[in-house]
Amino acid sequence: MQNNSKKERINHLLDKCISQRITASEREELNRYIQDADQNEIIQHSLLQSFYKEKELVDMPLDQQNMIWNSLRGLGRPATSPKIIRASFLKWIAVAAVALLILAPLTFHINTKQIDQVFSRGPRVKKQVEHDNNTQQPVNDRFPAKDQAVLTMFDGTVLQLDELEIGKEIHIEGLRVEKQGKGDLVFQFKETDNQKVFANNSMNTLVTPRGGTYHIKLADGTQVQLNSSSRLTFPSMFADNARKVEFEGEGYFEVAKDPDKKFIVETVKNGNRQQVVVYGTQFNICAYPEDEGITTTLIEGSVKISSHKNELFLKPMEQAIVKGEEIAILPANLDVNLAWKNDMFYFINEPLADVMAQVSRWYDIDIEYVGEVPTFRLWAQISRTKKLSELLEVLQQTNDIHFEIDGKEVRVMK
Amino acid sequence: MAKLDLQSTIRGVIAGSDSAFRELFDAYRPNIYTTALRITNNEWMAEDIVQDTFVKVWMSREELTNVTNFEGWLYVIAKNITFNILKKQKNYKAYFLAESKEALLRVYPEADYMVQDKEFQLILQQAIDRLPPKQQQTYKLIKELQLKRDEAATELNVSPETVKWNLEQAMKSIRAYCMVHLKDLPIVVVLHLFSKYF
Repeated sequence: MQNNSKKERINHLLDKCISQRITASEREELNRYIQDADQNEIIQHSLLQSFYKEKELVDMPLDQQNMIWNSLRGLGRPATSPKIIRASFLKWIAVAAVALLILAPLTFHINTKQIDQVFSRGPRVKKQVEHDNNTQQPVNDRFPAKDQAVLTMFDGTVLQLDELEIGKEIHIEGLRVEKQGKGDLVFQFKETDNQKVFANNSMNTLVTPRGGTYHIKLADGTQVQLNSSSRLTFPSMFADNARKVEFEGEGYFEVAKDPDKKFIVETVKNGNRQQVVVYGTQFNICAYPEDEGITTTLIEGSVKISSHKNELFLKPMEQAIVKGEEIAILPANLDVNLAWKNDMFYFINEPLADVMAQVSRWYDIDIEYVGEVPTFRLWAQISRTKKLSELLEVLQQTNDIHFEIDGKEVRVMK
Repeated sequence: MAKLDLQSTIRGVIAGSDSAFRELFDAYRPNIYTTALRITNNEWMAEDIVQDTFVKVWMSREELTNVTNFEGWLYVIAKNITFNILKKQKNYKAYFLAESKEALLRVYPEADYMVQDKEFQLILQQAIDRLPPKQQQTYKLIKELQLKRDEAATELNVSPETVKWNLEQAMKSIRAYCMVHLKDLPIVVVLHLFSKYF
């Protein structure tokens, strides 16, 4: 009986809390019950009920909402890794199981100064690829990708860029397109009276094949480095109040700052749809059909990533993986995600299938597995300017695997 | 706010989707906050209850595959966290009124071994190390070097409001990290971080 009346009293006091009718002395009384260990069960039961009670809802200030969200996002993940996550963030540790092969190692603790050095923001210095564009592929070996791409202009002109001489220019009504270097294309625009010709529907497309790579500078100063098997669709000039391009494959974007005109990169692939919105910053997008999701890595600045249902903001040194409607945020390993731009392959615990996918795009080869597809993972850091045979030799040395090159095909076996 | 497709959102959370988790956070935060606020009558405690609840939700999300009543599951978590915080309230008061380590040990004798506990020190250090630079600097100036807010503002060449914001964010991030790795928040973590309750 006494218990029942205590229970009723406690329920009553909590009710008054919820309805904001409780008095100071009643609060004191409630606190005494809370501190009384004998009432633990009753208190807990009554607390639980409080969450279900009808009440006038308030919310914490927006600042605090954001702070809490910041502390929640990217929290530690439990041991079983969710399927949505493909890349993993690892500090560099010596692993006994698989022998490591380190050529000139990149740094592990990245700060902005080191980022500046590694990803040279100054004039672009392009590494010399070991052969020149006109050499035939050797027998039973492949050269790595070279500067080649096809530009299809808004008026239907198709240009095979590796066949153009350097310095070649095309002028159309104030638009100047110039092949500035072996793998360098520049779009420039001078305003004329015929500006209307270049409304946002005058789209150009730059496509790199397998075994190709190219760099382009758009009319607003934005620079994009395209990896193999990539496509960038862009207007000759950005009218309106937004700059929008479409993209698939892999590319490194250095977006020119324009606080009045946001820059939007849209990617549609395999049922994944992503938009990246920035005002001026540097990031990498990886969106190949063979991969499960679209991965965007942010180097600096701020970007908004949206799938077709959700949107999130990304912070520097983070990567977002878009899969369907969902967006996952993880710390990024810039060494891994941006290695391609530094002419390197960098594999940290990478499944063999993913390694071979990257190799096949860069060397333009087809992969055939003899027997089962091996499931082991690779650790390696190898220059992308090597011939295919040299790269495969390195992988063979450190893994239980054997390769045979036959023309455009590579056979993989144990 | 658009009505939540709960089943689809939960599937997303189980799969590790931050965007789905954000949807859950937005949908249930108001009720958990309001309830916690009415009961504790303290905005900062209510914020901590919300944060701790969602940390626990994220860390336990694999359980959700077997949960049929999500709200029931969620509110039990929130209830347990609220209860624990209410229980410790008296002790926080005693500590802050006395403001000394002796007072802390009187109230919480086991606190002594915890302060020396290597694991806790390591986790706390990791939590601080992973803070973004501005937040880390602010935290160190105020919590480790014991600067006042104005002094820290001068040191960092920012406004006192910025200092306040960065410190608050740093504390929240440290708290979340400690909760993940220490499974429960030892009293010393709470006391070390939060003099703002009172």
